[in-house]
Amino acid sequence: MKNLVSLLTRLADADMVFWLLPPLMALLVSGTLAQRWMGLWPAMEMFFSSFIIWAGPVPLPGAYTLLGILSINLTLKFLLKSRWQWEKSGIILSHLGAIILLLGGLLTAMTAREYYMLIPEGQESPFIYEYHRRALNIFENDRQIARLPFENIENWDLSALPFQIRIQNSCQNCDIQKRQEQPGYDPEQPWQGMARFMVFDPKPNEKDPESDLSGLQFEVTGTDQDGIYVAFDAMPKPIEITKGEAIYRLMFGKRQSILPFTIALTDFVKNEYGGTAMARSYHSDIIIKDGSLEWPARIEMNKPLRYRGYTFFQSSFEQGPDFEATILAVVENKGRLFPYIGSIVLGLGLILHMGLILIRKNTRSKA
Amino acid sequence: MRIFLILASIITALLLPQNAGAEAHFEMQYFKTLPILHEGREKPLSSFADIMLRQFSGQEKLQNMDASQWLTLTLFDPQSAAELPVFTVSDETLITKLKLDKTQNLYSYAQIQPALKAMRDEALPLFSKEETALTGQEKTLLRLYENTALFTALLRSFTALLPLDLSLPPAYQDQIDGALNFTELLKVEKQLEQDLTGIITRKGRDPSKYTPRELTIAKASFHLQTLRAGAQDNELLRIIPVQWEDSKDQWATPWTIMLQGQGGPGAAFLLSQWTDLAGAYRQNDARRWKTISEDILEETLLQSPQSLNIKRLKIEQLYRTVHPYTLIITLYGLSIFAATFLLFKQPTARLLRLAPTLLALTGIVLHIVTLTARIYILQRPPVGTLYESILFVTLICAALGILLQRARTSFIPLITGTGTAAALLICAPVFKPDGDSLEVLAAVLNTNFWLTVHVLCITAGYGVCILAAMLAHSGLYISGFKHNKELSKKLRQNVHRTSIAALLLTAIGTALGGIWADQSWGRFWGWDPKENGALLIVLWLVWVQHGRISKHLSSTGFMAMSAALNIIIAISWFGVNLLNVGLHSYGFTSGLAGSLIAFCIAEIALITFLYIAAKKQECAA
Repeated sequence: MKNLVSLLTRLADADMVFWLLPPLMALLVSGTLAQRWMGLWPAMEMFFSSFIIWAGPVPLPGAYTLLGILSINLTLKFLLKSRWQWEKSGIILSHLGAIILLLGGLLTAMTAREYYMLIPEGQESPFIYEYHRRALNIFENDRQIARLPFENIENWDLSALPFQIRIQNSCQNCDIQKRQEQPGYDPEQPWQGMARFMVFDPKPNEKDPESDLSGLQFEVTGTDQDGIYVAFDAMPKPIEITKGEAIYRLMFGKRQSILPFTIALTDFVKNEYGGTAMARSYHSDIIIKDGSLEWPARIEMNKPLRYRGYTFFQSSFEQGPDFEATILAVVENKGRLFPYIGSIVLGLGLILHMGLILIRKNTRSKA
Repeated sequence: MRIFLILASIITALLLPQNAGAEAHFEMQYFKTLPILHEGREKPLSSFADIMLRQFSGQEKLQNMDASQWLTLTLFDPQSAAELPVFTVSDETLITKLKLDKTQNLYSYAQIQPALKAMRDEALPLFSKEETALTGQEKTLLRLYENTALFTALLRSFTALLPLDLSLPPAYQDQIDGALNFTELLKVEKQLEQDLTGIITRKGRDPSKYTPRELTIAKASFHLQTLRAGAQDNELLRIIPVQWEDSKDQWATPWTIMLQGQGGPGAAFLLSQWTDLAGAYRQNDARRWKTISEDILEETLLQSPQSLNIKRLKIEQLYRTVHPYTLIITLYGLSIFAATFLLFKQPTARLLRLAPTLLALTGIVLHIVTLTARIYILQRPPVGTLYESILFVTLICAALGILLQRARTSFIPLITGTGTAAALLICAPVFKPDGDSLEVLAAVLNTNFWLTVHVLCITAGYGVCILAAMLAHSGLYISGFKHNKELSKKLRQNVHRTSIAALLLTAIGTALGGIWADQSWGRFWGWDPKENGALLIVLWLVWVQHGRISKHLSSTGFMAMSAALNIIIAISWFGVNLLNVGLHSYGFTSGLAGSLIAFCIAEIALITFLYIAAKKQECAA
């Protein structure tokens, strides 16, 4: 008990921040520089979404560890060692603001999910897609019967499927080659669909995993079209296999979820600066369809739409001669309000602290 | 596609109207104010001329001509403009390769065009290369190609309206009104085509078999086609407002009006006025020039969109003519000089004692007026680019220097503030964007609310940080070499207060940035380099304050670490832009890594030196 109290007292020391911040700043600089060579996402995962970073055989604390200790220190300092005096009110409030921000960060790290959705003009969609994770989705007569996460390909449980699938190979980032030009090409193998023409070679991952072209080759048995198939990102058409009366569709790509409502795009507008192709602003006029209810809304830069826990942001667009589609970023985050509250409290605290310093200075000058 | 447009425009033989030889003194007042839509913004022609001339030559003036006079020559007398040296080639080896005269500073279009034509095969693969893979010389060559293409477009902007060095057989003359130009030639286009087809059917394509009359027809037809081809995609000189309802805020070039039929009666009238103006220039008629240019201005304003404001055009003209930042630097410099003088000698006259403050205040007022002019011209907050952030940060440094100034004790805060502002303003042109420094902003930045609350807050924070760091430098110097304890203490207090103010602004600015990011990208924090840079400043300030409170940093250590804020600011403000990653893509820069590293090393060396000197004095005391 005595040790616990002593540990808590030590953890509540103000000078902990003095020792914690240098490694945190070093981590911040290293993680930022690493983004130049590793890409934003992998560097973020390695430095800022980890407890430990391995510098060769040496374990170093990751952001989770450092921010975790910092949060404990700030909370204990706030609860146990705050001097509840008017002169210290600015500092106390600033610390509270920092605690709320860190808590918000924790909640966001635990609950936030980021997706995107692409809706062509005049069409509607309830589907949202993850940026980085992929999956093989299997439908039986339009009813989804399996969603197999690609990251977990080694452990796929395929026993419940009405036919057999055996994974032959896969790659996170594939180089597509011509099947016929491969050494040892055997035309007698039961190549099906696009597998007749293409074969995947693994290549190093892209800096941004979103740009990886993931794919897999697998053998299907127990259907009317047994054979070897390939599936990869952005396949133009799903693989269709029949077994008796049932039609099975296999779709590979970014992991897909379904919103509890539908969004229809009525118009996408891109305003350009006169005489240039540079966008001045862009927005999407949409209709939200939730059950029997329908109403129009607009999503534009810096003006997102929030509905049923999801926030929709104007992210990008696709334009062709006869085609226009909006790309919306979709975020689900239970900790969304924390940064707002934390920022207000932190700001008020710092303003109060600054004000009290100036008042003290003036009082001293007059004295 | 862009490559082929560039190459095609250079290698195609340039048919230019006849030489005008204008020499009269033209009143440029109205011409300079005429509006043009360029790079997404309506601006006066004088601004367009400045931007173009600076892009080609890197100069503001050419021989005895200012930019607007040069533009007039280029538009209305392209033949003479093509002979005028205007292109700069900075690479000596490239000059040799292009077989240009090394003794010249500038080269004419007539010199550059054939030289580039000869290097076409060597240049072609460079257009598909990544910019980072290009050598300095290759970049210069590509820039020269692009500039030459742009100049070609500029030379051709008015060729539709200028008289041609061409005559037509008598049978055509009846249909021509006045001087023969492209517009008049269009009237006989069908007849020319029919006659030429007949000639080719009878005599084939060998011109040596043609009679002089037939040759004239072939030549006229060739001129017509070449001028038309040269006009394709010539979208540079957008000087005529488009009247159609769905073309709001659009402006058309003379070529677009003629070839695509945009405009209407109003546009046709304006075009005829421009033709008259070209005629007045070419006939050296200064009086007519003045009347017509005034009429064009009046008519253009009448036809232009409601958003166009003549006051704004005039203020922009004034802004570019006055060179306010040279004046501001001079005033800050004089203030430093006067303050330094007063550090050594105390004059009795009150006015002399006030001189540094008054000079600095005048500089600050001019600085504020200049930034206000930029706000008025651009109709947005003053900070949207790296260059603009320097202009704002310097104002904060100078203003805070004055605020901290106590004439009775010392001029050090004033010298530090105005000195920092002047030094940064001198460096600012390095960060000036190519082309126009009064830029329109990318869609994500195009929000006055967030630009005001977040960007102004964070850049004001940068300014306060820099001032705190510079005061800390001064404090270390005073402690180490001047042994003035009273002043050292005063400066330490100043550094403490300014660093708290810096923490306030940078922390709130960073939080506001997070909220903006949440509003536009859907996340408060994304570990993006720019965000991390801002956080680094906040963490450093927090660390220094905690070091001071917990006494892990001595008073000299506190001053040294506060001085090191300069390094943190340099990394966060400029360094992260070099990484070229993240969502803040609008802030990327290149080619400054060496300077940044040199600055950081120099600062570390200087702070270490000052720290050791101050520490020695502290120990001795």
